Amino acid sequence: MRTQLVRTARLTHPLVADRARLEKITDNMSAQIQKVIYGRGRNPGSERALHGGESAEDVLQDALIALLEYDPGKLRTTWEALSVGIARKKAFAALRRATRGRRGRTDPGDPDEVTVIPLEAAPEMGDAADDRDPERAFERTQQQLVLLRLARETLSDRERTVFFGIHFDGTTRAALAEEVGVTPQAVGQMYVRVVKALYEAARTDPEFPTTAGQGWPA
Amino acid sequence: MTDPVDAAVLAFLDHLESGAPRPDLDHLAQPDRARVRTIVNGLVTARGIDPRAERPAIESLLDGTPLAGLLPAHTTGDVTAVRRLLRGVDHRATVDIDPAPEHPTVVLSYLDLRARFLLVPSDAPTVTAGVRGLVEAIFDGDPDTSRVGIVASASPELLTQVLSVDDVADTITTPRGERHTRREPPLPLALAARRLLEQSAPEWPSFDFDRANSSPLDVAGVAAEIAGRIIARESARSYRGDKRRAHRALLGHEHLFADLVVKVAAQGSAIDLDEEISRITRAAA
Repeated sequence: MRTQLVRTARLTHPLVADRARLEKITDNMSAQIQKVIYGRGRNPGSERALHGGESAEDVLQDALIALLEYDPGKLRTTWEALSVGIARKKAFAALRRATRGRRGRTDPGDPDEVTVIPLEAAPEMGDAADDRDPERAFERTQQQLVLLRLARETLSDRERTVFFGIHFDGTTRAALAEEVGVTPQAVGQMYVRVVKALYEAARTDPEFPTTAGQGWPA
Repeated sequence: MTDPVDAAVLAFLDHLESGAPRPDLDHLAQPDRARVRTIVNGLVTARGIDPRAERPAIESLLDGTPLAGLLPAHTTGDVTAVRRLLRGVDHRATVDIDPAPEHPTVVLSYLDLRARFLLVPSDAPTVTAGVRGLVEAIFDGDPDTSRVGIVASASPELLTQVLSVDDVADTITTPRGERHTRREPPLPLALAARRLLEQSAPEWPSFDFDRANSSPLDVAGVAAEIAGRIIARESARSYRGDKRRAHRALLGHEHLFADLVVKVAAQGSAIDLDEEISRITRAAA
């Protein structure tokens, strides 16, 4: 029975036939899940783990299976947009499981405390509307994954520490300054120099999507 | 002169880190404003993504689930696919592509282990004369390479033959014509890499030294066990005459040696060890 199900899914699911697209979507889902679980209200120095032993990889497995089991005949959007929705939903469900029965019981600063900050309460920075549009969210995240790849390929260890710290982890410049042994001002300047260079390099990268209207002006 | 984009981005970092007012971008020219918005939106989007994590391969994610056989096996392997598969094998190892112009390889490194995986366009990782030449060139080109994996890119599971430098070196065969060493068996890529890591960098279960140190050592018990083992072994030997009788006589008297060890180990002991052993031996004789 299982073999039959697998065979049927293999024959009908377009993502199974397009491996490159599935790889890209899975990368993106992994990033979406990490953003939901670790993106807000997280101490950058803390370990990336959910209370109860569940990990982001477990959530990704759930999300990938849900995506591959989705009936292509019922699809009303793109697979990319659908994947964003599934990944976020699974990640929020994991957060709820992790915090079930714990909220209100922990003290602030408790290492087991998991804080879920509503999106509206996050610092006002970018275009929040884009975050709610799954198509745009997919492309924006894809842009960051391209930057991440370029950073891994081109930056020195110190530059990577600063870029990863500020851009992805949300570490303060003062904390990074202690780590790399320069002033906070130098850390800020290094970050700006690196991020501009990475966007400049990404402009000619064929995998850097620009249809979301957030390209890097020539 | 300072780039206005730099100042605006740094002001945004102040806004994030210390709650400073959100900077106004109205004074910037259109291209600069677009750059700042791109960087700031990127900061929002990137927040939370783990830049050091490697996503497991899709096969690993589906392994053990009802969809385990869903994806067709790799039939057109390329170095990117190999890298992705290897990255899901062991989080301790780093995996990178070495873009050598003629024969790019995927390099898997952990501590002093460096294995290179070379794709060959065949359905089996057979070591032909041509492949052997390539492997020799890889070992010669990078002396730090410990193993080379031949990956059959057209095989269903990327069958891999792992070779060490001995496997391709000139050797003197035995008169029976057998190989002086046995090669590793060809395995699917992920299994071959896992086997390689397990052999080169085994993970030992953790050992609690504090707990081991806190439990008192039973000196008498250990001494009795060792004495019993030695006496049993010696008395089982084919000695003859008095020697045989002496060893046999010691059977069942292991406690004499255990008591002696305890006395010697005691602080301030003035026992003459040689004298005591002679006494036990004489008694046995």
